[in-house]
Amino acid sequence: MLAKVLGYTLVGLMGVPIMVEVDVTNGLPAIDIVGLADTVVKESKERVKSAIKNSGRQVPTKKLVINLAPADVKKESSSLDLALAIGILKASGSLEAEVKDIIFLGELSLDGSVRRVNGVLPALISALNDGYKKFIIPKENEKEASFVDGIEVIAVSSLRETIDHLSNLTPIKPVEKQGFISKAGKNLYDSDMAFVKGQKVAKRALEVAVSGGHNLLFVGAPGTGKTMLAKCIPTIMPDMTFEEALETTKIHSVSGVLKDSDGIVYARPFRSPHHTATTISLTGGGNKVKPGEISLAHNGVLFLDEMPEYSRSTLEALRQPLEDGVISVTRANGSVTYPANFILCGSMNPCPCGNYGSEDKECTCSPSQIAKYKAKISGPLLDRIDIQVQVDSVKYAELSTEEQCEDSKTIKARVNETRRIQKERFSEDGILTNSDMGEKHLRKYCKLDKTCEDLLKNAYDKLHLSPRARSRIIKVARTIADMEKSANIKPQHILEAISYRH
Amino acid sequence: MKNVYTNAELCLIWLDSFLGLEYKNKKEVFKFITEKSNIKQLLIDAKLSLINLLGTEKYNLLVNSANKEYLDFILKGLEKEEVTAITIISKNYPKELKETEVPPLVLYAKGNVNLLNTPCFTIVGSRKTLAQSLAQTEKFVSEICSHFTIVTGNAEGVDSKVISTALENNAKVITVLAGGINNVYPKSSVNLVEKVAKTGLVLSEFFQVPSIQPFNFPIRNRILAGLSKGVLITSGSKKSGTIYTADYAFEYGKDVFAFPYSIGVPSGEGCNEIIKRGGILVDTPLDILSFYNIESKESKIELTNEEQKVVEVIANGTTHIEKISKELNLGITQLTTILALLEIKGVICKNGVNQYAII
Ligand SMILES: [Zn+2]
Repeated sequence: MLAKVLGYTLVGLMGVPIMVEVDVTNGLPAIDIVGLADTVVKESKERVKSAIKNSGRQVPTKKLVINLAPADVKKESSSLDLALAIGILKASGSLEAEVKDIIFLGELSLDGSVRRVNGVLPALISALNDGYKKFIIPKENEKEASFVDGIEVIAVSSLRETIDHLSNLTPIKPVEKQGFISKAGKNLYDSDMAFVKGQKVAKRALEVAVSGGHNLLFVGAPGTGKTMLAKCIPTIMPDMTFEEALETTKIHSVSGVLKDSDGIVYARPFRSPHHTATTISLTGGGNKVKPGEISLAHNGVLFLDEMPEYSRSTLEALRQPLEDGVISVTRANGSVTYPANFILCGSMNPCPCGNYGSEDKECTCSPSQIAKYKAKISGPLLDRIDIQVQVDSVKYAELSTEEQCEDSKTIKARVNETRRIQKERFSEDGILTNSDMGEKHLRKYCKLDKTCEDLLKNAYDKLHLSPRARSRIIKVARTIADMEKSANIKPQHILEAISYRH
Repeated sequence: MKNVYTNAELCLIWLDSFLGLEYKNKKEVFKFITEKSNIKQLLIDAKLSLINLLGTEKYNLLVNSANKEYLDFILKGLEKEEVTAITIISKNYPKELKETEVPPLVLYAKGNVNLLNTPCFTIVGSRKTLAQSLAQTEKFVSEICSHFTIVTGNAEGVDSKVISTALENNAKVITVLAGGINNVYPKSSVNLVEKVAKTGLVLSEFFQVPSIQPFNFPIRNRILAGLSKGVLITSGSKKSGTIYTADYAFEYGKDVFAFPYSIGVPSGEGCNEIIKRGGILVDTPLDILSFYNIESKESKIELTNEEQKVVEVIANGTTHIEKISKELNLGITQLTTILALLEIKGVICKNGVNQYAII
């Protein structure tokens, strides 16, 4: 008897329904899986056999041929286990229930329990777009499913439960929908701007950067609060919208880093890959074509501590995603695109020894050593960084402990307002923040009066600014003007922006 | 450009081409050079003295090279690199330098050789220099360069700053190399040196230096000191080469000026030492201009009351932005804009993390 059961496999964040066809024929007892299955799927034979036995059913002592269609899609996930088991049971006649139109997702343990799999959320959303509405998924992935409207999801913890549900012996209630509750006002982060003492210049620069979506670079001696400040960036970014949260959750789900408790990512990601990280671990790819750190940072912050220490090729790989907000990962047959829209926050020492500009320690670096160190971050990458800010040593910052500092919530409220102004302004331009502005937007929205033009020209001559610095300064000045709700860019906005030059 | 040399000049150029001959030996031969000298005659005239100094073997080597082919080879090399040889008996040999104790017998020059007989002023300093001192160097060069040809070395740090500032001001500038004019050292300065050759003058005592040695720097520094009326040292540790330049300048009776530094700044200890030895402390370009009775047309920078207050607070030693903000009760954002404007006006400069200094 031939049985057909649906599974689902992901290619990047998009998926393909897999038809699991099981045929029982006379012959020596064996299971043959055909149809471009990789080793993970082939290994599932043993798991499925054992799981069926331990669920009180029999694996027929006949020849089983299992075909996975379409044949040209590589199936590389153990999440097809459940579909395989149901297929075998149907084909051998030990399960009679109708399973048409149901997509099965889940990995089986030898004892028959159903284990969590990666990528349930993107699979559900993608399958829904394909017109599928009924799913059976692991209980452990239940939370992810609760955010998708318009589908019926049954969450199971074992194969036996699945069989009992399907044969209507012990029906399971579908997973209840929980709407996306904005966690505005809730504390999602361990860090807070109120905990950072002193550092007034850096904190102001941070607010400007987040308000306009500008990438930034901290310069300061080792042991300054660079990491602490960077961790505050997500805390003053606007709360994620449902769409943003879903996008980020999809990526985290596929990567298997999704936390059980929430099922959806509420907090903006903060990713800080070490400088020894490989280019692939940053951009994504490799055998499994997994998303990299820059995609895990999607809608959040990518923090590169000690930026000049990263390999040149790794830093270069950031340029395209910084431009496009997505990264294409090539694989054997074609390429997969993952979103990668993040605020880049780098940090570096002022010089190789770290003491340049220090009040009490002597710098032992020669000018050419310093120049070489700075040149490790290539010009084109620096061009994508609008704001550079000097960070005081912690020792200095501690001097001002008695002062009351604003908390992240207060600052975030201002950021939200500034972001709203930008969203309205750019409603027809297809961009969201000032940092996204191209030359044509600069001409349209950043007209400068004569005073501002003269000021820029003077600064250009006196401070030896590079021609490229000009558009960066104007973009940042636009953000500062927005923060003050000023329709026009004024000289003081230009001046402050100049103070954030490289 | 084809240079025409007199017979006596050719004798000196020929003589100078022997890298194995020491300065004092060349000086000895030089005594025999007259207006009518030619190389062959010179070797005959100076034969006894030369054999005495060099021994027969070396003397014979000179004799073997005393021919037209050898001399043409040298001249072609100069011509190809657009280098002019200026000998101590040439009309345009710099007078200030000629009066020093061990003037180079031949100078190799690339660029505008007329600068050699303009009033020169030397400004030098170390590779490692505080940002503030570099900014001040820039200010001094900008003010002085309309009155003097600025002379400096070609190292990183102060010297490079002096050159780039002079070039930006379209001023006359001479860079004196420690390496050969045909093999610039350090390599990192090649671009800057090429720029100087276009509008200013590049100078060296050597056409080619096979490999640069530590002693090449002090002997170059005697030229830096010798070319000018006065020498300003803007930074230097106690052992730095710039101190040699000051020593030569004292020795030659030049006017020696130096930036003052506070106690405990390693890159300034040499400058303080120079002042102790009688160097003139300068903290504004006017100090130098008035020393030479030059009326300065220094344009007064207009400052608002608020800017003036900020400048005063910094001048009184409150240099960190948060401390300034507290002292004047100004918000960080507002203060940031004032500081940026003062930077553009050239009154202050960044000097370390969130710190500022008066220029
Ligand atoms: Zn250093």
